[in-house]
Amino acid sequence: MQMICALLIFGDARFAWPADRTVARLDIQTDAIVNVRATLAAQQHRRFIKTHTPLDGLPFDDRVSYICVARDPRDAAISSGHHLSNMNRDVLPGPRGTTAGAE
Amino acid sequence: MDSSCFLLAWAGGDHDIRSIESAIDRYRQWFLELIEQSEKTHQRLLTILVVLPGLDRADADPLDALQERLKDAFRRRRADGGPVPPPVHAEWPVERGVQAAEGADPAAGDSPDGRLGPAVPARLCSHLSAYLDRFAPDIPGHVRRLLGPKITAAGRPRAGRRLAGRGSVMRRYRTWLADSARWDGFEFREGEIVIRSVEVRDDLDADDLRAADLRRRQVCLAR
Repeated sequence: MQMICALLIFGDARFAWPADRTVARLDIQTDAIVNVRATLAAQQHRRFIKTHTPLDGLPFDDRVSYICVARDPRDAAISSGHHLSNMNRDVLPGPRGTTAGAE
Repeated sequence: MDSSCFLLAWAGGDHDIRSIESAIDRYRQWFLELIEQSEKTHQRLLTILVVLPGLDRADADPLDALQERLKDAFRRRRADGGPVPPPVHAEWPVERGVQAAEGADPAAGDSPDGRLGPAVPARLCSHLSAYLDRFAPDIPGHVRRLLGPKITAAGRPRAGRRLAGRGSVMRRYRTWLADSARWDGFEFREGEIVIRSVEVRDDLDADDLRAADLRRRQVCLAR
């Protein structure tokens, strides 16, 4: 979904930002919130933000489009497995601990 | 599978609802015996998949009702072998001032992160309810007809009405990795997009990361 949004917004497969900065995730505690917001503030294109927060935990704004992607649990399980396989599990606790501890 | 925690049981024969209950109860009793003998680290993985060949699937309602009744009964027997989810996971969701654990009495077979099993209906209901509150007038009729009964059946007869979503209190969600409080005070711009993906589990915690190999095996089972 994020790639679909990116392609529609930019009209190009070459993005000005690295992938992890093109699609911000406000609620993930691996980077200080001030840094995430600074990244978002610097973006001049139509911003799109990923979140793991359910809808009733998000601020609601009439001007915003909320896309809820419901996935077949079987697909999500495979995706989760791939995600875990690609993840550097030794590194992740570091920034999370730094960020969550500081906030 | 490598830990012999996944068992496939074939319960042949012409089953009706009554005989299914009897058959399932036997397997559940066996499950309780097995879990007593299992290593603690394997208890959460122990699974018996019961195959009921030839079962008439034309009308799922009696089977659903049976499942609901049996699961509630089984849960009361506390077969989970300990508190599931662990306290850190009970923070999902965290609604300040409100008891967090909606699935406070999960059964064996529920996900150790507490995001599956008995907690799901309440969370799903909450999520769907918020969805309907805010977007009901814009939801296509066929989707609304699907969602409405799920809400009303759970005692939340708000389907089809648009309430003051903007003025309602936002719930708080927190996991090891994510904290919805980070949304506080965020200012949107015109036309922006928020992408929310609903998955089996979309947060990670340190235990999960360390147990990634086990997770992968679970993923294989799901495949």
